[in-house]
Amino acid sequence: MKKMLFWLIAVVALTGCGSKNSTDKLPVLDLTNPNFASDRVEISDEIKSIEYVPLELTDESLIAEILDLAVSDDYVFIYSTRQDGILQFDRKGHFVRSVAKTGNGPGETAQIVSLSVDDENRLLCVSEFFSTSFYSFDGEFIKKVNTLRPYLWQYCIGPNTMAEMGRESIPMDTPGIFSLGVFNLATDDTIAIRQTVGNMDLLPLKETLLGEWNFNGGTGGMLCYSAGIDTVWELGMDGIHPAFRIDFGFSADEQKMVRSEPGAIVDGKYWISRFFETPRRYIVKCFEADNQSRFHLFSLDKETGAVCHEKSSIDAMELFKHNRILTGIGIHNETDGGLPVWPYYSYPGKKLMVQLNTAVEIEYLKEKYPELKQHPVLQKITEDSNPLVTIYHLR
Amino acid sequence: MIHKIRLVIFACLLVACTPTGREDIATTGTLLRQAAFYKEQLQYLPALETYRQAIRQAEKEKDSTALSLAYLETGKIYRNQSLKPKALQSEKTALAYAEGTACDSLRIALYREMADIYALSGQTDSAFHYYQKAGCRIRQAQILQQTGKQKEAEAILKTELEQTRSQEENAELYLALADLQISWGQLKEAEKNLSRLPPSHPHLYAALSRIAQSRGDSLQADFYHKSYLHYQDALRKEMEQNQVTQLLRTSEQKEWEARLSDSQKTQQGQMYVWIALLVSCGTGAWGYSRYRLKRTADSLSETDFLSSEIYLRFHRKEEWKPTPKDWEELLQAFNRAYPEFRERLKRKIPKLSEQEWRMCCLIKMEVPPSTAAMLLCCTNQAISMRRVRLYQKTTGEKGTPEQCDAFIRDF
Repeated sequence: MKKMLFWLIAVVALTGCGSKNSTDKLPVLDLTNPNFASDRVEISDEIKSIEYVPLELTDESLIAEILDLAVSDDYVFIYSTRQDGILQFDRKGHFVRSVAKTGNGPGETAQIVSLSVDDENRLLCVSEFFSTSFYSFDGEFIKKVNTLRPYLWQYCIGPNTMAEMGRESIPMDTPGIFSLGVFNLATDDTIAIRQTVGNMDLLPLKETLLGEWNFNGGTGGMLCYSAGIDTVWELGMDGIHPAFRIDFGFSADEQKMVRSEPGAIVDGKYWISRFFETPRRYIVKCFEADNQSRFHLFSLDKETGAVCHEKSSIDAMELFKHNRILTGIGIHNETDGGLPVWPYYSYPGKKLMVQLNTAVEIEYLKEKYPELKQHPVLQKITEDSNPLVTIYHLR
Repeated sequence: MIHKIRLVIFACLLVACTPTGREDIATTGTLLRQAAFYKEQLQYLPALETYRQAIRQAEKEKDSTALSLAYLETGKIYRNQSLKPKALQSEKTALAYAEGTACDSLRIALYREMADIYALSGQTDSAFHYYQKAGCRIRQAQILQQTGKQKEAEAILKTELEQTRSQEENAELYLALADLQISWGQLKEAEKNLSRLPPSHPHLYAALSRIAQSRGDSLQADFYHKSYLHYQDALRKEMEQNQVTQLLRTSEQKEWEARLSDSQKTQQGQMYVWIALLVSCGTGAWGYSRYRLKRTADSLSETDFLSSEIYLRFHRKEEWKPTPKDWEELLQAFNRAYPEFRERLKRKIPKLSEQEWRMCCLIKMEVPPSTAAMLLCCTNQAISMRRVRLYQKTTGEKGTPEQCDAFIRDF
């Protein structure tokens, strides 16, 4: 009887101690394994329909270089260089107004870092360093919330809830510095915080830096990855959990180099450019440090763990001149024969992906893939047009 | 009999286990305040839910003012959420409840709110109508200006200026009039109207900048624009200060909520806490009194020692050589003043020589090194070397004579 009781307690204790997503059971994208399930990365099976939003071009809505974007049910918000504030377009692409213009007055901004939409409260959130301003979709300024946290990026992931990523290239022992956090701005509560990410036994804290952040929408909130760390973290309303792992095959010395030198790249190893999540897959875009012109696409099936790989035929250096975020290097679009698929933001929870291609990039891609010239939407895009927003509705 | 006693005990237990805290029934006022708090924090979903509860409560109490207020605020949330038809519906319902002279100010707020919603929807005629009802002449003039009715806009503002109003209200009217005139190119008239504004008005400089720009004087325009930014910055700081106050209020609210949850503890629990508190206070007070007694005794003996003849004798700077008897007298007095010092030092340095012990006493007594050298019959350098060696013996680290002094004094 005593033995039985002991085992019962042990089982209960072990079950209680298990985390939501134990690192051992995480899906792993092994970049060192040369064997792949397929030499083509697919996504068409997940796309239900495609909505094209060619952004209207007026004197006020001329878009230079896009710094960030956000999409609500009715609007597309664009933050561009050489424009004052955030440009608001409706879902047909008509320019509506500019909000959060530059200035010192109420509702005016100094240096915007990111923008996102609080879907539940129907508000536009404009983040600056140390403050977040809220606007209605009618352009009315509602409130500014100040904070002392030194975040680099801040995105809304739920009602009043912000996912924040800490400052890059600052020693981790600097007071106040954190890696990842989820905060409620209304109640000023900390939902979850991680002071550090990755293996902290490699280097002293004062020599460890946060590498460049790479992030995108995740099923439960935001997926965040800091260069040189093998885990992609999910920041959600319920906390911070590991989402999946990427095996780069770094040696201990290489890891030390990556984690202590800002912008360090390891020869012979892959380097992540961007990634996104769909309901079925994690898809990663990489380049090899030795050849930064050729990009590789990898997909990891969440259920089977199967990895597919594809080498892009587009020269990244050439494409970079037309769109610095390299949207043109993407997955073949078999749904309507349109542009290669590579979303700027993916919202797998909302079954939505938003892509952004500049007009000059589209012209370049038309030359590379002549079949694009037949596409009815792309036909109307000329070199002088504003960027094209593509919204993928997922199954 | 036993059965009856059991029943009585059971009843007593039941009474003891029943929460004694008074169940608060939320009043309409409480609900409205709570909802306003949520709204202020941009927690729109709980705010809307709480306003719904307030409406249900107000309907029960047949409180038409509370109903009107709840619908007005609900409409404001819908407006912030850009749900204009719903916002308008709420405001219309609120207006239906705002009856009687007691609701005059509420009705004006409702007219203004409805006019704003119509203006946001681009329904300028309705917006104009409700701004008129709310008495917002500047907004009326702006709508007329948007629709190209410049003269009517100017006439509205001038008529309003003829009436006696406060200085602040007049300033806003003059500014609005000047804004209209700038956009029509009547720059002199605009300047004349702006001259009636107080120089601290932040928007004065924005208007002056526009005038300079219309005249092609970019330098002057830039100067006025910078002045405008300066005043805006002052306003921003003021607003931030208000936000800090708001944050403090939030923390106060949290504290209040925590207190409320604490008060819901059972009486029994509170009793245990009180007993524990009393016991710990008693123990603490007893311990503290003992500590104070001991401290008083110690400090008294230390004070005696510091003013004693032997202490002063060893601080004398004149040339003299203490005899073994002087040393004995000093060490006895020292041990009385610092009873555990020698034992603790012995534990730290088991092989403490007599000379070293004497030196430690002199350091603790803050005898200057030169006097110590004279008393211990050695040179100043030797004293320094001894202090360095003593520091190494006690801490195991190389240090300076000053570090040794500090260590001994704090020991």
